[in-house]
Amino acid sequence: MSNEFGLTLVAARPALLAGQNNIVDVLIRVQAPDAPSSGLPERPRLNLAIVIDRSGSMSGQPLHEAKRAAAFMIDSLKATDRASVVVYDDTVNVIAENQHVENRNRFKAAIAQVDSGGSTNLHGGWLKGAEESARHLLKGYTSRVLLLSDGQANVGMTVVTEEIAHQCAQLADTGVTTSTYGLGSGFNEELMVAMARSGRGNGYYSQNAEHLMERFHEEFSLLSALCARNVRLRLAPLPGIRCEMLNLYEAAKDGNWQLPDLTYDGEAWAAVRLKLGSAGLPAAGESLALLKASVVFVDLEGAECQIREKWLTLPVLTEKEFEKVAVNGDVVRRVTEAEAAKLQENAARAAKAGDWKRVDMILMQARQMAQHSPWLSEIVVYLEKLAAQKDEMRFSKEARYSAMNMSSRQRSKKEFDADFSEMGALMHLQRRVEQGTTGRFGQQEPGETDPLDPFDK
Amino acid sequence: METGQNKPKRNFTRAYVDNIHCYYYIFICMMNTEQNKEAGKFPWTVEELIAVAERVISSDPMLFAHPERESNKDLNVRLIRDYVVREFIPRPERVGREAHFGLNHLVQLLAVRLLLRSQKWSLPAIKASLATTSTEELLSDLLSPIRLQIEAEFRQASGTQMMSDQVKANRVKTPELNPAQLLIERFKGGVQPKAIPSSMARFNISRSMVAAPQPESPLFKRMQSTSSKLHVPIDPGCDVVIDAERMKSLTPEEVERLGEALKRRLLDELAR
Repeated sequence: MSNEFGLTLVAARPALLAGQNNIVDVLIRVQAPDAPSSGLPERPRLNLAIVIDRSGSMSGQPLHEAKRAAAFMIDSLKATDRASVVVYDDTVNVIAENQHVENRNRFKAAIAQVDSGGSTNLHGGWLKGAEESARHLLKGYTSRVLLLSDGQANVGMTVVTEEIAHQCAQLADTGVTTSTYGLGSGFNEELMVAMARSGRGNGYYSQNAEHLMERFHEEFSLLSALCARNVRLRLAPLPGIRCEMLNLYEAAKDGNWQLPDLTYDGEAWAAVRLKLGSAGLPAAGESLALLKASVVFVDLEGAECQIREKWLTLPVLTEKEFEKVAVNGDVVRRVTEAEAAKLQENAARAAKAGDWKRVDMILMQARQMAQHSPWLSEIVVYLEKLAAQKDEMRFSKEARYSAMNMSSRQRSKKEFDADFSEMGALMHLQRRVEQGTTGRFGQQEPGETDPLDPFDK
Repeated sequence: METGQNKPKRNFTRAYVDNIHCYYYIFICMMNTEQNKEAGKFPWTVEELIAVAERVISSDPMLFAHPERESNKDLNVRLIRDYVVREFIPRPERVGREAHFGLNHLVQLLAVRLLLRSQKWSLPAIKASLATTSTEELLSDLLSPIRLQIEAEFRQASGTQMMSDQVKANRVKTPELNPAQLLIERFKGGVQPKAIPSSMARFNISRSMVAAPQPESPLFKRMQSTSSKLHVPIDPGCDVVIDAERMKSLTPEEVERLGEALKRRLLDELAR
């Protein structure tokens, strides 16, 4: 049981071969404290802007589910939290201004009146949500825009994914993060994933409207257990050593790597590949410090904190000794998953271009890698099933979201424990095989009343 | 020859003249005190203001870095005068016979440079933003990374600690914008279509403009060897930059021809 943040560096094979060029795969784990046995401490106060797409394509079941999910979020908030609700089609409207959630009925009445409209001014809607959230950027609050869309942005800023993602990143620097929810198969997953990744929030995708609620539950599970924000990893390899980041993380302006926010029981991780030539190696029997890692983050009170730096030091061995050193299977598994995430991104691009031959080749490659990771193995089986249907929209979304989740989401820090149970972990720490479907929450038999559904009462 | 009768009179005259000197001296002293007060608030001449601004900018060159230009040292008296005339910074105060600048001038000058260079705001957007933002807000938001340097320069120049008073005095009563709100205002500015002067409104880029074959120029070679951006020099201080990567519908040769066509048309417009 640990009550402190931790940082560990583990090499896949913890040794260097004397007189040879070496490639060392390293797993870096940034671990949050354990969840207290008496239950999670009081969660940070929230300042949420719920931004709902009400364009024509949302009419019917999707809009009903979106309203249900928004009402669920309002019901989950405390009176000390703040919230606002923005709806957009080709115009943007604030239907509930940023205020304390003292009168939930006022919010829910406004949400209930939302009906479907015209085109999709996605950027305008997001910006208005950000504006509402920024109006009360208070210390001790977690400010986030929850953006839901089922379509392609076709009004306002429409085509410049990088520009919108850059705006999300800049806004996240000031304290307003962005999570995105893609619904159906018509939305622009490239934009939604980029916004979530740069906006330091989470990206969710739901194939059907009835699974949307589960994504909101997941977000709420994460926000409730949050203990560190804006987690940045600084890597300093020894001069002459090349250090390659294998995860799909973005490097900040200062060269640090932006890791996901941390919750209790969670760990952010990174797999890096170090390449060093034989010239700089000491003789066998000596050791070499290869890499220094340090982590800074912002705690819930807004204070900048640092986790004590750690070095990776490996012994230099003769060939005979080197062969006896066991390979760490856990590190190999994570390295495989980081590399598989890149493959999945490539597969998503190939599918978008209609190049199914290339998709098949990439999936074959992923299948070979999957022997090290049962989770990856299941994902590959599912992706192969989708690839056989040649539904480019669905496949590209599954592959892209799967890549993001596999590479950039935090994991349970007990994942390597022999007695780790996936179902026992907090919801946001559970690994998902299918990104757009399945899930225990939000699924109900026809006619059955969902106790969480504020409109069914 | 002096007589005893003249002495008191002369003494009286001298005393009278001395009194006048004294009053005059007191008057001059009072005037100087007032001027010193003004000089404390507005300690810099235009040359000194430039020197101070350049020192502050060089303390954090990355903050003011221009994506396409290397040097940060392009402030000059003419530019400051231009900023005053165009109301980007307030008019200087008259101290004695000289124009003097104070903290608010320095802060606004630095804000203009920062927004213009590294954040690439348009001049009208900067003007609108500065009109509703106080010196204190600029110091605590936009210029917060260099606030300490600015305050140190001002303290050193004015020799007083009355900066906070002046900041309060200069404060414009507007709702405070936090960094996120300032950023959002900027994003909004970026999305809204900019007004096009009527003379330029007719100047549309058409496919026909880029279709005419032109010989390959050194400009394009430079673009290929360095980056995807084509710089077309129009006039000293005025370049048109075309990002070829974003114009995927055009071939590199067409981008090159577009640059040449733009240059010809803009020079024609300037010559009118």
